[in-house]
Amino acid sequence: MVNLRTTALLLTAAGFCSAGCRPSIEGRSSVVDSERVLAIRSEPVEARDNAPVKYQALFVGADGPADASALDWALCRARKPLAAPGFVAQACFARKGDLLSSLGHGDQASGLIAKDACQLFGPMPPAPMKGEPNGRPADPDTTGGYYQPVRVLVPGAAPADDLYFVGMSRLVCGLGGATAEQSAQYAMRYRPNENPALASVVRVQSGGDQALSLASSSKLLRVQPNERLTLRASWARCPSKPKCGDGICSPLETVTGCMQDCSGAVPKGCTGAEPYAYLDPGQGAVVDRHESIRVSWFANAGDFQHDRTGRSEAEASQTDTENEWTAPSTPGEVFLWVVIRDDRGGVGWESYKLDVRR
Amino acid sequence: MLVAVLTGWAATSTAQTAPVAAGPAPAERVVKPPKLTHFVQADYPETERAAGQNAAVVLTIGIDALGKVAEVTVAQSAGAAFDEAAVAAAKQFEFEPAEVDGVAAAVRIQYRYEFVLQPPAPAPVATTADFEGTVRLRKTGEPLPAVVVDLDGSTSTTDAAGHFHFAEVAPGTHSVALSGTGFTPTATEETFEAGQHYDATYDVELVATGAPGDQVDFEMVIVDSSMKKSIAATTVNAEQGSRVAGTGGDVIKVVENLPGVARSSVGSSALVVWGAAGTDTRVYIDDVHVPLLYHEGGFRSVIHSDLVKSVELEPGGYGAAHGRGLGGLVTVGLKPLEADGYHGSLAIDAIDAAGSVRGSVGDKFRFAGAVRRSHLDWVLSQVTSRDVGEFVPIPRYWDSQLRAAWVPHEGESVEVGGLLSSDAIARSVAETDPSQAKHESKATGFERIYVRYEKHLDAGGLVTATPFFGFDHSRVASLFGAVPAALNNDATVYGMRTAWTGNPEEFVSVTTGIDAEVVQNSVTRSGSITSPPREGDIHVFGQAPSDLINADKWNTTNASLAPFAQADFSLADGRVHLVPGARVEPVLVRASRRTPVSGAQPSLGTMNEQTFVEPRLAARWAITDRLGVRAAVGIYHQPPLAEDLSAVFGNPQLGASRAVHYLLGGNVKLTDSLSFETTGFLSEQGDLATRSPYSTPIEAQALIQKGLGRAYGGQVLLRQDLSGRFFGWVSYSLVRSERTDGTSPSYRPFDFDQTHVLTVLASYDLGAGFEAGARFRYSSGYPRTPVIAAVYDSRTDSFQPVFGAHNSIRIPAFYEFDARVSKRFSIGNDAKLEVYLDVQNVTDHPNPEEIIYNYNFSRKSYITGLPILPVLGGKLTW
Repeated sequence: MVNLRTTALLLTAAGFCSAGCRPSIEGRSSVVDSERVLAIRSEPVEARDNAPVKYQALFVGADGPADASALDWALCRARKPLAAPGFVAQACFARKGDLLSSLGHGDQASGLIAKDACQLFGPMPPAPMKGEPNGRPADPDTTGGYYQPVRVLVPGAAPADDLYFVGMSRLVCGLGGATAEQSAQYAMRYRPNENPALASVVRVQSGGDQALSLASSSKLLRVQPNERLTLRASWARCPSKPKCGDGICSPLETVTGCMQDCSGAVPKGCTGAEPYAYLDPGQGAVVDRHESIRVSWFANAGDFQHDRTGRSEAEASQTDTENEWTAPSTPGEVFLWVVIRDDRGGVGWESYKLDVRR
Repeated sequence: MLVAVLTGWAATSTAQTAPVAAGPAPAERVVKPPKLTHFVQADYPETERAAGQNAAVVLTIGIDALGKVAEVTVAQSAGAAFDEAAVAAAKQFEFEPAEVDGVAAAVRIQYRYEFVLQPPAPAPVATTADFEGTVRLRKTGEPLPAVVVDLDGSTSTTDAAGHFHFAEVAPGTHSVALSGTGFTPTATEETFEAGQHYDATYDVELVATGAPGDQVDFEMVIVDSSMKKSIAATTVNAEQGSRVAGTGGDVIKVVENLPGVARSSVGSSALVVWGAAGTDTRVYIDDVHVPLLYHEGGFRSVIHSDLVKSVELEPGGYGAAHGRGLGGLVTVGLKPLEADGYHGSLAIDAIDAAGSVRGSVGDKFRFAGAVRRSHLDWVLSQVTSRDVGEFVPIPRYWDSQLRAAWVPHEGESVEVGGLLSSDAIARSVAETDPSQAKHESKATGFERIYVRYEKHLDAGGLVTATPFFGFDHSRVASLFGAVPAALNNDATVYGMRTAWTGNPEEFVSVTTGIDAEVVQNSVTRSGSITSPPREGDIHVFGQAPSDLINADKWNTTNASLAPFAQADFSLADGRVHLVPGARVEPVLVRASRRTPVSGAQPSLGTMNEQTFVEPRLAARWAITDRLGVRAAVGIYHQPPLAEDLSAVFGNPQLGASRAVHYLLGGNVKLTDSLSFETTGFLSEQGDLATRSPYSTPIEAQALIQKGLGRAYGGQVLLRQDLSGRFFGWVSYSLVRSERTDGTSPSYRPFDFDQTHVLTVLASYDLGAGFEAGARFRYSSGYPRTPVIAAVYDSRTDSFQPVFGAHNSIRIPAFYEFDARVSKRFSIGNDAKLEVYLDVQNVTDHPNPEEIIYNYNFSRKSYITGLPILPVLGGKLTW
């Protein structure tokens, strides 16, 4: 590791320190020491205007799974000002409002995507103000997606104590600003996203990998206090070429070409790093890409070496990622939560429990 | 009568002289004998000194009708040595001619020259000083004849060699005023001690073609003043500028220490002057517009110090010769190329290496060149176990300048030059989380070729013409996880500045000319609309940019041909100068795409033409020889940036933004070398491009032109010019710079506002070639917007900050102490070696440079800037 101070003493230089002399700040996202939402899943991941969507939250606390009955769900219709910081309009973060459609309480909720979601959040020009030309459509994310936010509120004793979390429903809106040819190519090659899923999370050891025990299991994996575990999370390998009959409606597979894979109302996709079509705004062409996969690690005790690991798009052929976890010095049961995300808004998770004992 | 005159002269001479006869005159004629007006004393011959004899030589001197000595013969010899000395002296006599009946006539007289050997007299106690000097043209060094030098009422006119002389000057401080054709009358003060001989050189400038601000006198002249004096006590020259601690020997870096200039963040090369954005300040190198003054990281300027004659910073209120900028004006003057042999330098330190040469082929062809290249990346790789570039951005840069001049005769020259500069900086951060992996790179540069014609006219006028051509490049790219951001801007620049300066009347000088510039940009951009952020964008350092992205590619043309004129009226014996001027600025802006790409729809361009009349007025009044006041007001416009003319990221129909500058100041000369200056200012800006505040802005209007700005405050400068072994200054600026965003009526602090900036610097010559210097800087921290809460975004697994009032907190104040020690060695007769140690942040104070937060914004900390940073370097010059 470079010792910047020594380097500076020996030499010179300046600007590099602005990025290099970064102090560490207390607080790790992988440490669950209070109640919080770790993930929000939308099912289906992608939905059209006015389509029904189910939502589920992973709500946990320092002692493990938390009581989610107070979670307050609402779909938000507010669009963030173009250059405002962040991802979601501040108007979404309120207990009530004209732009919030309540979806009820609990760890799950369901509702309908806004009828004009593709105008509000998508590539369709928004309704013009009176006497003015069309407004500017929303910009897509790096995968070409548009999203309607769903707000989850953990109410506090006073509004100032409220905690807000936000999930996203990816919208099926088509392309903005594309030619007819590009739109046709896109329609042929793009398949709606599928929520990713963890195939396994195992403890890597010389005698053979050992699966972590699910939180619901009665038989827990036992580890020593302060023991360092190498954990590996893996997910499905998505087919590189369409193969009719594999249960996955891949790009270029259609209902007419492969009814058994693509006939459902929501065609089944792959739960790993899926391929997808993307209209590159720089090139002005539809290109093939793969999702990246990120895995977020959480525990209510012990320490992870990394808060998140994963595989970038360039590493899409690899279907696992590893992290190290050091068990706490205090014996007891420890909850681990592993959340897997793709970069098209898909989310999946599993909860595990370990027995830390001498 | 002649006897009396000559006797009187003899009485004051060490060699005794006496007339022996005068020519006879007819009784009926009225004869007026010649009168000796210029006596030359003969030296007592050394060969006769041992004998100790007195002697007398009788000479016959023929004087023509003009009073000149036509012949000298010896009528009575005293020996060859005495005869020779007497004849030599007499030949230099001058007379009023003799007259016969009122008509000048040639006569012959006899003259007795006596040599008396006297014991050496004690050295007289001098009660006066002797003062002589030369007046030259500043740009060429050409002697300036017929300049009237006024020394407290006594005058001397410079001869063909530009020389003047005052004998028997009473000790004390005297005012020295220079007047003549071709330049604005000007004045200064000199202090004389009895018994001392003073030889001064005054370099005066014909009314500057490219920098009428010289007359406005609001500029801070770093290297030369408009009237440079070689009397060392009152000059801050280039060499001194390079010795300021913390500059690393770069003359132009001294600009950062001047009042009105905000401290740049570590690693930044931006120049924030009087609260204006860095892009609002124009930089010229000898009339050639260049896009930047410093290399990336701010370590070095883009031009070698050996080529620099002067650097002038005018924070505002500059004259009509310049425009297209709302902020300040930086003018780098290049040294005139001389035919004085071959010279050069080599310099190296841990950051870079540089070299320069200059010379001539005969008297008419002269050349100079310089090159510099950074090697910091290589140095770091030698002392670190792995490439430090993986962690930190290390600037890599080079620059080069080449100049060749043909001087057919003094006062006229044609110069062809090239200016090149290139910067590259890159950094990669590998992370196990692919969304946190980062790569960023930036490459900037410019190339210029120019031809500069300059001719000094007979009547003291000056004509210059400088056409130039070149390219600007800027490529910024980053990848934060999968979020790309790229902005590439390639510009082709055509420019021409011409000016004529003359003195239609003795009390007025006029400068008029044309300032033309055409810039064609080809721009591509992709990424979030807020990445890279622009002024006014609320963001948190180090946080991932928005992943809502777009892309655009567009071309722009920005053209202007601005005639300008300015007069400098010298009133009240030069004590009052009134400088009105005006500039007509037609701005033509073309963008290739009016709306974003939509399907196969062809793109339509847009063109925007505006014409502005920009009046400027400046005045200064020397109330006394030591006290002066000054004021200025002017209107300025700036065309939109090519980057802002995107139909996706900006607004292709943006027009020019405007500013009005008001200045009022005064200066007091406390002693001959200690001066105090103060200036108050107000800059009001309008039609600034700002972000649209709407969630669904009208298409192609992501930027709107509704921003307002204002900057106001004052600055003081207490400056001790080099006096004996010491020079230094204290500068303090109190500046408040504010902006409004779009439709918001309330002002907020400007992103680069620094309310207080204090700089104290000094340098002392320790003798024996040693010199020590120090600098202390204090500045307010930049404004930032506080994070008051955060919400969790499940899609990106990150927290989104909730912000408080815009720019309502500040980074903690900055203060730093720098020191410099150098030693010079002479190598042979012509070479010198200087070795220096420049230590920044001697106290190792951890200065906060940015605010950073933990993952959920519940805790914050600061990124700190440079630790103690010693830079050891050397420079060999010959």
